[in-house]
Formats: sequence, structure tokens, C-alpha cells
Amino acid sequence: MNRYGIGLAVAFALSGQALAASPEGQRLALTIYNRDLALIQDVRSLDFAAGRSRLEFKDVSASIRPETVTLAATGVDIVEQNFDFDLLTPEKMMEKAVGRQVQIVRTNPGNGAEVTETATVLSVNNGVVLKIGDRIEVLRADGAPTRVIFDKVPENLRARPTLSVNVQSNAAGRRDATLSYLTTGLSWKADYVALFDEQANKLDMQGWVTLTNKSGTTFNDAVTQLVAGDINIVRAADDWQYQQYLQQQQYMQQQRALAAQRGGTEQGARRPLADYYVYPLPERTTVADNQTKQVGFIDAHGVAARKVYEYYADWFTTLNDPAHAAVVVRFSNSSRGGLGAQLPAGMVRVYVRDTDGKPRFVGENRIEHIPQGSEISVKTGEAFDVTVQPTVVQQERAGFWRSRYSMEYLVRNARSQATTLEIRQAGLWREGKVLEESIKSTRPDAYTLQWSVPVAANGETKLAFTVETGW
Amino acid sequence: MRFAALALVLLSLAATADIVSPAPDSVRVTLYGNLAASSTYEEEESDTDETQTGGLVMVSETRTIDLPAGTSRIVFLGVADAIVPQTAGIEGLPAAIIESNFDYDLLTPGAVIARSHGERVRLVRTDSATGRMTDREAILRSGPEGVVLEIDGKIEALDCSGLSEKLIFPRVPPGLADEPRLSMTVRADRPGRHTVQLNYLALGMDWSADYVAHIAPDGENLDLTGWITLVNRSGTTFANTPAEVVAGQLARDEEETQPPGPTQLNESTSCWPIGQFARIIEQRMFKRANEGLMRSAVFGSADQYDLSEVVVTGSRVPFEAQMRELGDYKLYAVPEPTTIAARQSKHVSFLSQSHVPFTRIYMFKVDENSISDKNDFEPKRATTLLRLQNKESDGLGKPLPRGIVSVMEAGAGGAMLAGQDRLDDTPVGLPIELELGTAMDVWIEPRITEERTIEGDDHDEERISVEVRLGNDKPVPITLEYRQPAYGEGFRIVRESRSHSMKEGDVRWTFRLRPGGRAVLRYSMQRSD
Repeated sequence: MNRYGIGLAVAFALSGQALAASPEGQRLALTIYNRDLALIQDVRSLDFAAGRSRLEFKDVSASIRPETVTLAATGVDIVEQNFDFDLLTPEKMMEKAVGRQVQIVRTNPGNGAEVTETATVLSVNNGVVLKIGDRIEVLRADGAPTRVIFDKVPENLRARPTLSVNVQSNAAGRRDATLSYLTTGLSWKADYVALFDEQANKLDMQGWVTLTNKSGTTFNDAVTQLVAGDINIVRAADDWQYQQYLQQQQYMQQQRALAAQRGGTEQGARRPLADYYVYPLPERTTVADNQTKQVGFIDAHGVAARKVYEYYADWFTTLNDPAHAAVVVRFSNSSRGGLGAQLPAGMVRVYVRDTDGKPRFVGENRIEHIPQGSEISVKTGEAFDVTVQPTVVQQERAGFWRSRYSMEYLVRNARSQATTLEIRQAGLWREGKVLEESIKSTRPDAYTLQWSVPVAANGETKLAFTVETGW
Repeated sequence: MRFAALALVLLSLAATADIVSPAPDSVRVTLYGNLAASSTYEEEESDTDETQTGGLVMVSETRTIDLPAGTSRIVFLGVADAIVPQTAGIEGLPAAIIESNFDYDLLTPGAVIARSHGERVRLVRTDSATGRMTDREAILRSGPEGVVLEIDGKIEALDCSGLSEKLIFPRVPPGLADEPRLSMTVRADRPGRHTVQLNYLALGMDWSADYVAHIAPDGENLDLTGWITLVNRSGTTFANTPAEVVAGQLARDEEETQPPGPTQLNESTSCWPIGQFARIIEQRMFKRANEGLMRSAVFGSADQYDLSEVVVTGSRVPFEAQMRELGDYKLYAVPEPTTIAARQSKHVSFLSQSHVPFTRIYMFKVDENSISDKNDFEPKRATTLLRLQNKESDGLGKPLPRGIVSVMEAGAGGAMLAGQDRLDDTPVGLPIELELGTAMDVWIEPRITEERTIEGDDHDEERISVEVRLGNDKPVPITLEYRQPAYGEGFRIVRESRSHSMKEGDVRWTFRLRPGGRAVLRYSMQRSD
């Protein structure tokens, strides 16, 4: 009992020393990555004792990855680092009290009289068994209110996970120490607001970085920078959250068929960090726990943009009901197009001005990290008034392992302006060729055909073609 | 509590001036979530408890801001409760936005405990026998998942003794707020009063289009009315608000465009195991206390929305919602500003067309698997279809947002439901076919009379011959369409007893049958084996 008490007193005294020094002169730097990961660099002025001492850091991120911790200070060597995550709860406290003495205060339910006795905890299994004098009892077996009073908080039980470092210092005195570690719970992504003017073929684009802190800790007055790019992170194979994340990524990639873009050719103005781009926030900021923070990083006006209608058929099929054409806004992030910035992955939300001059939301889509100088296509939704009805007119055998398909696409336009629909037809395989077509096609790749089908206002156009392909 | 929390927020940010915008001057809402657009419409209809957040809505608030020169923080109170904070934007403020924050570290019992480690609190115990209260000073050592206290240098646990105990805190820990809080830190060159637009997306409101078609006694015309239903599943009331709905299919990302879910710290007792008898009593008491809490809960949690609580208000509005174009969608504006209360639905008419001509057609689409079943001698029933043209020359010519059409027909005892069908977003100029159900008195008996292989030079073909008997036992003449899907490589009709037409991938034969009329159709089709 005694030995136990002394050990604790020492630990408290040391932690008090480290904590007293930490808040003043603490300088925090956060580097936040896309994938729920951040590097924290925490510089604080610590008063080291000469020789061995133990430092406790209670105000580190609650989602710290303790194996990544390093502490650096001049003339200080690390003896060992401990991360204690055995949390102080009543149940744990009772388990640690097995074999020790506690005070039992029983309240008589009838008259409120209190009786205090000393008891030894024998076991904590499916009930607490106590030895009081020479009696063996189960705690509160009679339902009468019974308080249990412990002498001390057991060692190694803490209110929150605590990092402690045993150091060897060659001299006493105050010095700057840098504590750095990785933590989860901090992440960021980009959110873009694109205000599209269809008449002028322009869009105004604002980019915001959106930072979310669910780490359980508030980071005060921190220098913050955000890194765009998918860095490789090694995770345990049984990390189910990460596995879920991977599956989600895979699913999203499948969904993003339309957000295809032509690769970038320009060097961005951003400061590259190895192969990634870094976005420093302009001012020191407090990243509070349970907070979503946004800081602007792009504000471009008059970016050349246009709207196109698209329909993509991955096979030769008949639809009984007409399908609506996809509405896609296309623009470039080259400097010539007016944007001139690489775009970190995120959501693009497109707005248009209504007749009252106020913006209205018209659709949203995800983009990947896009290098500067790329063509970007954002599908905003489906056109109410532009529809396509595909029909397989004839499907014939054209020799060994070859087929001939005659297709008709009836394109209807209920708008009061003439328009053009881009139809892309996949399904061409080995030696695919066009035999007949009512409109001249282009061939973006060996397996795909593309037609620009003009449709008059309130009119309809029929695209007919026959193709032959091996399979 | 609200005032206390606010005062703390003000104190904690002494460095920058805080401007509190307590409420919007006016609000406009634009609803995007068309219920019929979601594939889980039926599920949602039948299982309303599962409906969590509701559809997307764009909220546009007009606010007046008195902005001082220099750096200040504007706190926007009274925003919709399911706001998606990363979509918030402001128009008309001549100031640079340094950062925009959404804080949802909420003042909950668990959060108060978690933020009070090492703080002096008071522990009050009430003796259930005598009613005597004892009040002692304590230091909070851990929690909220099991609270450990230090009292006079000794350690005790909260809520493990069976006594009636409570904690009293001297103050609310800083940074905790009673509601999620949207704020923007801005920097202005000069002071001034500004009328600004705060725009953001939120969840919680759906709309649907519903149609009622009344068939006129002549059986050739119908009166079509369309209704827009607005449903507010959120806890926010929008008072005196211009409301609009957007028809058409938007690209959406339901995963990303979501209100952030706070990591809730729950207060829970994690005590050492206690005697069986006491445990049962405690469980009972806990249950009773919980029930009391549920009854007294004034605020609903987001996942407890229940459609049965939704109040339906006056179902007749004398004005029609007006349609206009919004990009490639159709926008319908409710004619007058309206109050959409929390958990309320509202109906507005948007379409009223009388004397729309239609043709009633009986249709049968062949399924080769079912007609090849030699043991199935049951005659098949035809489907009743109403065919309309969505053209002005045909009495309609209006964009029709997707929704459910209920067709009413005059019967002996007044109007009755003849059937319901789902209508897709239908632009002007497209044909409409509404399926009403199967007709009792129009029958089709198809059977396969021949199936054989025809050998070719490099591949074989199969030939199937079909004989179909058709009959009309209705007291009126009818039009009956028999449809054979033209699928398969090299499909063609090689012989037929009557000439066909091709439409939408089907071979069609059309018959006019007088009352009691009968007909026979014979055809042979051939395709690669």
C-alpha cells in the first residue's frame, strides 16, 4: 500500500512540472493530409532537470498514433516512451483494488444511519466479493446503498490516454523541445462553388479547403498546411475502417465514369512537397474539436466553360422508355482558360443564376486531384427536355465470331433552342467498323464511336447506323 | 443554458469582435428532393421510421449585418438544423472572408464531464429515507464513461453506491455550445450596414408530384390535375417563406453532402459488478427514468422523425405554382410565401388541364418462356393502357415532373380508382402510356405450334411458330395490341397472318375487336440458334 502511494506521488509531481511548462510558448504546426491523417509538430519550452526525468503530455491528440512519436531537444536523449491508455473508470479501479483494503460506508435505508467498515476486496468477477473482518460478503447484495472509498487512484489509470517520455538530460535548464507525431481524426478536402453562366459560356469558381477535426482535441493557434495528393499509408490488414475506405474509393471510381478529363500539361504555382502540393493557410488558426473549418484558396472569375449534352451507351440495347441526356459542364484549369490552378480532390457544386439574379443549385459531382492544364467535365444532372430512345433495329450474324448491329437513336429536344447531343457508343471489339451511318462519327478510341447529333428547337433527329464487330 | 453558452463564446474570442446575427430577415427555400426520384420510394413510404434526413434543400437567407472596420467574426444563429456547412456562402458583403467555421461541439452532459477533468465540482447526495442532502466538494478525476471523484483526498465513484447522487459544476467548460454554430471571420476596410445573402444547402425537406386523372363519361377525354406536396421532416420551421421545387434529376453525392455528425460523448455508468437484486431494482428505475425523459423530450433527435407526426395543412390552394426554366430543370414557385412548419406537409396545385384526349388500348407483351409451357392452358389477360400525347395540339403540352398518377373513373357508385402508374419526367412532345392494371374481359391465348432448327452453311437458326387466339368479352369495341419482343441475333418475322409494325424494339400487331369479337394471329419468327 505504502510503496504504491509513493510511486504515484512522484509521477504526479513530474507530470505537474511538464504540464505547467507546456501551455505558454507552445507553438503548434499541423500538416494535414487527405486521408484522415495529420502530422503534428508541437514545440514547447520545457524546463529539464539534469539526469533522468519523466515528462507527461496530456494535451496531445486523443487519436494519436503513439508509435510515431518523437521528442527532440538539444542535449536530451530519450530513454523510453510510454503511451498509457488504461482509462480510469470505477470498474477498472475496483479491479486494481483486488487484494487491497477499501472503506465501505453502508447507509441504512430505514433511518439513514451510516456504518463505516474496512474491507478487503477478494475478487471482481460477476460481483464484488469482500472480506469484512472474518465475514465474506458480496458488495450490495442486499440492495442497501453502499459507498466504496479508495485511498488512491491506482497507477497507470488515467482520465485520458497519456503520453509519457523518460529522458536523460545532460544539463538542467529551459529549452525548446519538439514533439512530433501522426494522428488520425483530422482530414481535409476541397469544396468548389462554380457559378455557371450558360449564355456567356463562363463560370466563376471559388475553391475552399474544408478541414474537419474529430480527433478529440482542439489545436490552438496553429500554423496549418494541407497536403494534396494520395500518399501511401501502411495500415494494418485488419484495420476495418481503412478497408471500408478502400472499398468506398473503388466504388467512387466506378461512379465517376463521366468525370473523365484530359491530363494536365502545366506546372502549377503551388509549392510542391515531393510529389504533392501544399496549401498553407494564410494565418495561424485554432482548429477546434468537432469543427469544420473553411478557408478560401481559389477565386477565379470568367473562366471559359460550356455546357454539353451527353449520352453514353455501353452496349447495343433497346430502351422502352426514353432516357434523359446527361448535362455536363466542361472547362479547363489551364492559365489560358482563366483558372490557372491545380485542383485538389473534392466536390464541385454548380449553381446558375435564376431570373431573380440569385443563385440556384443545379448539381454536384466529385473530382479527383487534377493537375493544371486539364480538361474537366462535371456532370450536373440530367436534362429534363433532351431525351434519347435507343432501339436495336437489327442484330445479325456476320461470320464466325462476328456480329452486325443496326441501331437507331431517336433524340428529342423539347427546348426552344436548337441543341447538340453527343452520343457515345461503346461495344465495338475486335475489328469493329462502321458500315453505314446517318451522321459522320468520330472514333475516340478503338472501342468507342461518337456522334454529334444536332436537334432543332422542339424537334427530333434520328441517328441510324450499322456497325460490325468481332467478339 | 443558451445565454451562458453564448456568453462563454463571446468571452473566449476576446481578440476579434463578435457580431451575432440572431435570425434571418427573410428566407427562401428551394427543394430538390423529389421522393419519386429515389428508387427506394416504396421502402420510404412503408418504413417511415427509417427516413432519417430527408431530401436536399437550398436555403437563401437575407440578413442585415452591421460590420465594423477590421477583423470580426459573424455568428449566424437560426440556420436550418440540418445545414451542410461546407456549402455555406455569402453574397453582398464587402469584406474578405478569412475563414468560415462550423462548430458542433455541443453542450451535452458527457461533454461537460469530459471537459471538467481536474475541476472542483460539488457532489450532492440525497438520503432517500430522511430527505437530508449532503453537499461535498470533490475533484473530478475522470469520465464521462464512469465518473471517478476525489473527495477529501480519497477516491470514490459516482452512481455506484445506490445512493441518489448528482454533480454540480461551477461553470460550463468553454467552447461548448447549445446548438451547432456557423460563423465567418471577415476583414473589412470600412464599417457599414449591409444586406447580405447567406446561401447554403441543407437536408430535411422532400417534395413529390402527384397527379389525378378523371376520365370523363365519354371515355375519350380526361381532366388532369397535378399537385406538389412539400414535406418538412426537419425540426426547423420556415415562416412566411417563398418556396420552390426543382423538377429533374440532379447529380448528387449523398455521402459528401451531409451535415457533420458530432462525436457524441455519452454519459454512462461503468460500475463494478453489483449484487443481482440491486441490479434489477436499478434497471427498473433506470427504465422508468428513461421513459420520463422520452416523454419530456421537447427536442427531437434527427433520427427520430416519424411521418405520423407530420401535420397536413389545407389541401387546396386557390393559386397554381408557376413553372419556369432553371438551367435544364423545371422550377415551380409556390405562388405566395408560405409557412412550412417543422414536421408538416403542404399541397399546392401546379397543373389543371381539362379535356385531354386519350385512347384506351389493351396490350399484351409475349414472354416466350411462359407460352412455351405446354401445361399452361390458362388464357392470359391484357393490360389496360391509357395513351396520351404530351402536345399542345393534343390538349396537354406541359412538362410533367415524375410522380404517381391516380386514374379515376366514374362508376356506378361515383368516382373510383381505376389504377395508378408511375410517370417519369416527361418533356413536351413525348407520348405517355399509363398502365392501369389487367383487364378482366380481354384475353389472349398464345401457344407455340412449331419449334425447329434450320441448318445453315456456317450456323444454325431456330424457327418458332406461334398461334394466338384473342377475344373481347367487353360490351364495347376495343383496340388490342399484341407485342413480340424482337430480340436475338438475326431476328425476323418469316411468316405472318397479318402485317406488323415495329416500335421500340417490339413487333406489334393491332386488332380492332367488336363486343364479343374473336381473332386469330399466326406468325413464325427465325433467329440464330
